[in-house]
Amino acid sequence: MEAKFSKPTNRLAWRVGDKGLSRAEAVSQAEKNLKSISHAGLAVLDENLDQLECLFAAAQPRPETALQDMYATSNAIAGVAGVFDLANLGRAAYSLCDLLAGFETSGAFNASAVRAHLDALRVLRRLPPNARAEAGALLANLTQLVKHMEQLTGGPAN
Amino acid sequence: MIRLSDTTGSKLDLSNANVLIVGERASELDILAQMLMGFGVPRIQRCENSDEAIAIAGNDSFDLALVDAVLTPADGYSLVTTMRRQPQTFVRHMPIVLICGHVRRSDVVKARDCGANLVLRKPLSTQVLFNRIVLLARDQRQFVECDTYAGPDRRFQSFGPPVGMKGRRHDDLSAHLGRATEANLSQDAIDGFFSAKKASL
Repeated sequence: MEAKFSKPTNRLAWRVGDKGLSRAEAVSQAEKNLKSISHAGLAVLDENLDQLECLFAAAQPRPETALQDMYATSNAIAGVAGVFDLANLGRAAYSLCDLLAGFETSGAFNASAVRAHLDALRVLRRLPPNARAEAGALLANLTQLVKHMEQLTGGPAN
Repeated sequence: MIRLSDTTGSKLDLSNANVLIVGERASELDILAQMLMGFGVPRIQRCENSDEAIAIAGNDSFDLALVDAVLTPADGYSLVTTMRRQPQTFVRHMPIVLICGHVRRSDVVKARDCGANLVLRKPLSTQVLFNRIVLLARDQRQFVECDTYAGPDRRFQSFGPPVGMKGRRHDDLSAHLGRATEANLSQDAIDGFFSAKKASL
């Protein structure tokens, strides 16, 4: 197998230097812009939290059938929550993704573990920003739960 | 070789940049667009599916593409791979940042091998995105094309071939040290580096 190497012009190269916006200026303006859409962003997050509940409820008594959709919704929450100062909510959603990906790989399912995550997401959405200890404890419990599930089902998700 | 520390103190001029953002969820595209507008990007093209993204990328020359891994009908990894095989060089060589949320282990290899210049994990922060664009602007990696891969050289740092082995690439540096080009430092000069001195402020 032969590899061809080339050195194309880096079309961003000339854009970095003495002209334009400094990091502080650019970041400050971008943060302001994000603030302007935070209301809409939080509304989408809440819709996704409701969607998770609906998916879980609608798939009863076999909630594992909604695994893919729940994973996608949880992934969406994990990707956005941190942008709107809800990093802990994002971490809990990420933990749910870990859990669901593990179930997908192993073929196992535990509805109680998913339920615990859904409840934690609701709590973290409403928790005041200064309740760091409570959020930390909740996230630590979720991490333990996911690890426990991995042990039961034979390792982390592939 | 580029280091993240190289991005400090840099200004970025994106005043006439043209950026393509691709993702399935409108709310996430809104976030990316707001960040980029804050950085001064005037032209942002949004795409919500991979087919449209390929078509649009072929019609215009973009300075940068931000591609979400979650996409339909092809996922973000496949879209980047497809872009790297396009006949137009302005598509093939376009700087592409792949943005991932939760990544399954099986997707880590896909992210590494799809041909993206950088992979970023969500949630994105404005600082991280700005730093990474500066990092891309300073990127001097070669572009590699072979049967199994097309994209920037995946090695960010080249330490040369393993000790005792001859490198396979023409630009591999030898681990063997050459002759000194300057006279050795005197003992006094060496001691000077270590001796404590009183600082006067």
